[in-house]
Amino acid sequence: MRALSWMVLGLGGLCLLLGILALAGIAPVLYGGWLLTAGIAGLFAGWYLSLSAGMLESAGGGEQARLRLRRLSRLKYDLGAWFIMAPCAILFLFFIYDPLIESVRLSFFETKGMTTVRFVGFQNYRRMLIHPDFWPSVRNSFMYTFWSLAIGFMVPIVMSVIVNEMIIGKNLARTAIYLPVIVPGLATVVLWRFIFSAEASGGMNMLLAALGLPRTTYLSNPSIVIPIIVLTMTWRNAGSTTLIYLAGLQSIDPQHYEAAIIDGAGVWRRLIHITIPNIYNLARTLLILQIIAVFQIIYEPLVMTNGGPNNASVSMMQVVYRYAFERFDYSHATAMSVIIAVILLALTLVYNRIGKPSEAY
Amino acid sequence: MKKLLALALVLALTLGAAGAMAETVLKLGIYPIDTDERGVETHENTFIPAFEAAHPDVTIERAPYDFNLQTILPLLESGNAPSVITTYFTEIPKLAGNDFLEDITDILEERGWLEQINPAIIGPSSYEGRVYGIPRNFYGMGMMLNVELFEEAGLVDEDGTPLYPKTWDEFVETAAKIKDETGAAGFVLLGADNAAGWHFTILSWSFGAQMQTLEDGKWIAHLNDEPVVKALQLVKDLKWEHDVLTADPTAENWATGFQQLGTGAAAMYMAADDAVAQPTANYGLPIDKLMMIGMPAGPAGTVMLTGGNLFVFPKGTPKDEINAALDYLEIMGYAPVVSDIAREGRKADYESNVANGVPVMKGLNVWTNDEYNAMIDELYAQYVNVDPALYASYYEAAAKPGALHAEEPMQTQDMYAELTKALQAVIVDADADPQALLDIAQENFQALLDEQVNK
Repeated sequence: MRALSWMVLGLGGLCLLLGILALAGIAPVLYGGWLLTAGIAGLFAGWYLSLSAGMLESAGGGEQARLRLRRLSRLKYDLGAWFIMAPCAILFLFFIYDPLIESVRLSFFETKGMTTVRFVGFQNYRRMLIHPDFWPSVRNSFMYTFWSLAIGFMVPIVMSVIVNEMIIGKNLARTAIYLPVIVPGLATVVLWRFIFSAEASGGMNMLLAALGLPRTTYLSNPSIVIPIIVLTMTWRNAGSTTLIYLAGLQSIDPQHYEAAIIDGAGVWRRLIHITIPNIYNLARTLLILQIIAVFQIIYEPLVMTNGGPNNASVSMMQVVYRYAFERFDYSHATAMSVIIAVILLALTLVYNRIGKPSEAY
Repeated sequence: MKKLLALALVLALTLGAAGAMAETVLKLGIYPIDTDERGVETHENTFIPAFEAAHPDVTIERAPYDFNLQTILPLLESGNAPSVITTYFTEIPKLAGNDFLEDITDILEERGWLEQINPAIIGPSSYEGRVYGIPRNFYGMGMMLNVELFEEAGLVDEDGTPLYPKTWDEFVETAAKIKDETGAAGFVLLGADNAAGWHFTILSWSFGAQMQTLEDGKWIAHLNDEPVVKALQLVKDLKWEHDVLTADPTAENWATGFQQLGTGAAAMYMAADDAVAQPTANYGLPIDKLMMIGMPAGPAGTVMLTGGNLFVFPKGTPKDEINAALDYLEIMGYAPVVSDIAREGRKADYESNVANGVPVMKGLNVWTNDEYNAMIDELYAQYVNVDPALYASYYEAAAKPGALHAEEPMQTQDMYAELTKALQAVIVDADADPQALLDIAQENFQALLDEQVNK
């Protein structure tokens, strides 16, 4: 067992070293990210094995031994869990963490296609920062996030409270609310593009015409294009969030409500003193998840406006897309991705600092 | 001894197998897709048997590929791209610049094809002085007209020939008349993506613009010069003063432009003769109701952008595979070689156009080989299915000395992106100031040139 643990540790260390050398451009660079991830995984596995081996060896007699044996059996139990998790963990390593590390690496290199040419330090980042599309895209990504919270954050909460209170047609309402989520994403975007088309055949313009009003433009109006796009996103995504809130609401002990009713509390007081505190932590998590998701918005502006007019709706992810798939410029695309990741990380950290979880419930 | 013999036998067998495996495989990316039954039939019954008879050592793999920016990169990076594919002139700097294409200059020279390429398209087929593709066709960007709308607006002479605009002033009048008389848009202006900047550049050229110049070894942008400002003012007037555009130009892209033209929602659209199938076969405009003209003249005369398609060979394609592909192109009639089979090849193209209801175009000469061009002329005369008078002014305009203009050389997509933003701004805001917008575009683009080119 001990020998095995040393072997795994050694292999892990070797992989890690090769990975670092590869990333630094000293060794052949092709599988640097993979080696690094394999190395980290190897070190973890080795450490775990050595821990188990140590416990096996030191297991003697008496009370202490029984305790150690119990710990050992716990480890064995854990080992089973690790085995069950292994396929998933490996997939994560290779399809999430490895590309992630590769992206960071590519962002420091000059590239031809996906092949690195030479190490250029922060040059790609500097070019990114002076690119005319950078600041509009940063501003817009924050605007998307702001509008999605302003327009969309309360919608699922209100819907879930209403559905929770319904006595007749609850199942129908639940299904209806979730329906937009099961329509393929791109199809809904194309659908909304037709609705907001500036042509006489656009849905909204047909409505205006029926009311005898002149037709107008929507997506080419720089001051309303982002709220409109957010509106369509809310329509599509609110359903799944509503179901999560609904689950949260249904887990609240009915006795709280009964006691409140006996004490004479009305609907509002029950909402403010029981419902909201009970879903506070859930809402907190969903808020940060919403920020992370909306900040990375891409295909709505890509399909509906292509970022226009005059960059009024371009998002940071769309700039990444333009670099990667319109110009094959992976070094700048990855530099932009890293900037997005850093912004989101910072946002999450700040958010976690200022909004402490409620401990009341 | 026995062991030695056995070893030698195994070695010989392995090497033999390896030798057999090294047989040339020609992965034909230019093989037609399944739905093109006529094309498949021509390749199967004509081209492939002829090729196999001449090249018994080459295996053909059918790998139809329709060029697309989203799919080409994974194919190239993974080494799974076909041996030969088609792409556009505009993609050469991107593909060759990223080291994705084989340099075929020497091979073309060996075959004697290099000096037969029309000098007007050597530039767009090359990157940093080396040739990366064989032109399939080339064109000058002109204007397509929906003849039905011209007729409806009364814009035809006594013979029924459309009274088409020859200058930008006439263009504005014509567009306004069409809008007044028919209610359809006079012109489809592109505004959705970089194609907007691409079209706008051509418009600016006719006002005398020169968007980039090389001065003292540095590339200088001229996006806010007077001719460009005048061109942008024209765009703004088309929208706000004359109101002759479609409902939302910022939603119009290359494909929707053809839709608007073909379905009679707009009367004029900037396009070239390689796309005549779009408004006709795809969107239902009868082939005798499509007309093409040269770009309207501005103060600098008529200027038409050179564009086209070409055959290219992904990086890593071995020389024998490239040569096999070139032989195949020869059979298809896309090389400066006249033969019965080449004639059959080109005939099949024309027959396919006629059968699919696509106007048969003469096109500009890709090769300078007289014998080859005579063959094409003869085939064209045999198959032409539209009145050549509808295209005469287009080809006359392109043939004028100095009318054809190559794409601006440096960071072209970035330049188009900056121009597109300025164009979008004047389309959505009646009070936008073209000069101020182009000053921003100039500043942005010059910064990019300084950072990435004038290092």
